[in-house]
Amino acid sequence: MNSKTLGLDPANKLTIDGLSATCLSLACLLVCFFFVLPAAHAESGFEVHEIAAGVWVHTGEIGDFAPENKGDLANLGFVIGARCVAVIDTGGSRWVGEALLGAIRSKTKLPICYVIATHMHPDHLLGHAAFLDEHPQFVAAASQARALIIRREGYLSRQKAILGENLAQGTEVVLPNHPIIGTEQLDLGGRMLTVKTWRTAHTDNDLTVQDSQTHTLFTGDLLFVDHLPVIDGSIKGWLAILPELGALAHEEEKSVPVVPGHGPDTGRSDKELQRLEVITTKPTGPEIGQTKDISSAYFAAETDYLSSVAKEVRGALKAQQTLQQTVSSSTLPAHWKLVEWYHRRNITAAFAELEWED
Amino acid sequence: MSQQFNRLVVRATLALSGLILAASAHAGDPEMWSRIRASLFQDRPIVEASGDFLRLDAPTRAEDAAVVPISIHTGIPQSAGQYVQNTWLIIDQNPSPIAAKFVFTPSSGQADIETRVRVNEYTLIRAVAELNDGSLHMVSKFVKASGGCSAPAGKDPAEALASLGKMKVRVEGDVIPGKPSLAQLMISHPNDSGLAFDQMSRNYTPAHYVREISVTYAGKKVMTAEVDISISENPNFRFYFVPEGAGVLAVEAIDSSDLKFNTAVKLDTGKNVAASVKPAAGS
Ligand SMILES: [Zn+2]
Repeated sequence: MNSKTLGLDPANKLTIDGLSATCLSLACLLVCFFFVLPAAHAESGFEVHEIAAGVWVHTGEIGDFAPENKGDLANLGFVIGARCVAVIDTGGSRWVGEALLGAIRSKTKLPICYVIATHMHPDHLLGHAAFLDEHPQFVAAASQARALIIRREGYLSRQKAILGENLAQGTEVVLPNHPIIGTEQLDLGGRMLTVKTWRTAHTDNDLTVQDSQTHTLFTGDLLFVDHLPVIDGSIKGWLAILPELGALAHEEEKSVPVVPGHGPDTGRSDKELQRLEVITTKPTGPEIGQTKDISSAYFAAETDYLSSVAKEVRGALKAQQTLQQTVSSSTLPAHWKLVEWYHRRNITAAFAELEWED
Repeated sequence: MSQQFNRLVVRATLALSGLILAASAHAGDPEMWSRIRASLFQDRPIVEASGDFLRLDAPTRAEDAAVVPISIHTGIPQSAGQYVQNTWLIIDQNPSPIAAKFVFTPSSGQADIETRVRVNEYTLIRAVAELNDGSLHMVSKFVKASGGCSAPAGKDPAEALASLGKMKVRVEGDVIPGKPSLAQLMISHPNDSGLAFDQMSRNYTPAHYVREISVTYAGKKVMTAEVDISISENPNFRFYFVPEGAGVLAVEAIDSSDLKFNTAVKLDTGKNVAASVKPAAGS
């Protein structure tokens, strides 16, 4: 450790330089060496689309952190008010954050007053550093600071290992300086954003954002579409909040635009019908076929998966199966992406939680 | 999503440095092991144990590096003449490699143990058993996992604090005098390693973990364990004991803040029992 990185600077940021990388080995040093890639992004073709008036979305790739995607894995958004702009999630690297900033600047010159993180995961907030010079308020659930402090060194060293020295350069973990407890309104001039925190569900610091003007709902990773939902908080908490969250996706019986943390948003009408068809033909969810709109189908699919995990694990616990037995006898679900990576992990997380039920 | 992140470093590492990993896949990090070996066993001989004498089960690729199930099986029943006295569980590449030392007695019946550990990076995991004649026997397994120590304080800290010290003890199957019975012990505890890995803010939360567990049945020692931050949040153990008749299975756990947690379950022979006990007041 050198002295310049021993403390937090006034912006509460932590730089990757000089960090002791506890997880990194000789093998990793080799990875870093091979992964030196040009960090060019001006001509990146980073796309954003307007899902509702003044509400823009970038759709991240469904996949794993890799040099080819530069950490562009989560859905990101920005909302333009009369006075200023709010950004919702910044991507998995400084590179993605800069590309998003470029996209914002191609639409408006207004200042960026808020950069909001929907939760702690690195694919959603490692792009924050690109916004430091805009001097926004960094908004997040009050519980996020602790979660990030615990994980930041791991996030940064692993990002460096996967993306390589060049792409990771300049990536920082920016701690929130505008913590949210409960619900708060953020004024963008002419439109308000309602930011709302939730009990432990996907993580212990989930936060959703809803625009007053178009009712567009950014769910963060409380809603996954296509990408298998990942439990890093509480399966019971998650199942408990889904009805309330699903209700926010409707305004006077009409569905509002919904942006999930991963997968297509409901504004992409070209894909909607296709998606709806896939979900409604899903054999295990008869109630899904009766839903009228795409976001209800998305919520139903996620609820269906999480419920099936809970049911399977409770059954195994009742039969006095061990964790190892339960994980190895579980079959991978159909109709989702990345099941190989996450399903058994979800079973593990659910088991460790539900074994405490009486 | 963090898990993906955790796993990916492993994949990238594997893809790009296949040679190094191929070389190290079975040897692990010999230097690390020689240091651990020297500190625990000096230059005493250690026999590579055969599978029917000592076996270590662990997933080759961990699903969740923070909750990696481990089980150690011994092929010999515990008897006054020959028994496993101590078993060490060692995770070479963890920041604190000696995850646990289990101490057994002839009353343990069977010196088997199951628990869950955190794994910080690709590593050899070892079990070293010491018999009552002083001989040392070792088995090891290479486990692919990473990042298990990067979220040291668990997923739901508020909930963890609220239920701190709650314990559940369950005895599986019927209790038959003279036959080893399988018990499961669960302790609600964050087993928080603090921020030893985050040099920036080492004082943000201090380490807080279970350090010692002792189990008796009808007043006789069954098993004690010295454990550490490499054990997963909510430490979980499955072990055997031999009931000679009805009695009380009593557990005491002590954490790094010297809080004591107790639970006890009264067993009658022949009956299937389960118990869930609220924590006793800390000392
Ligand atoms: Zn997430």
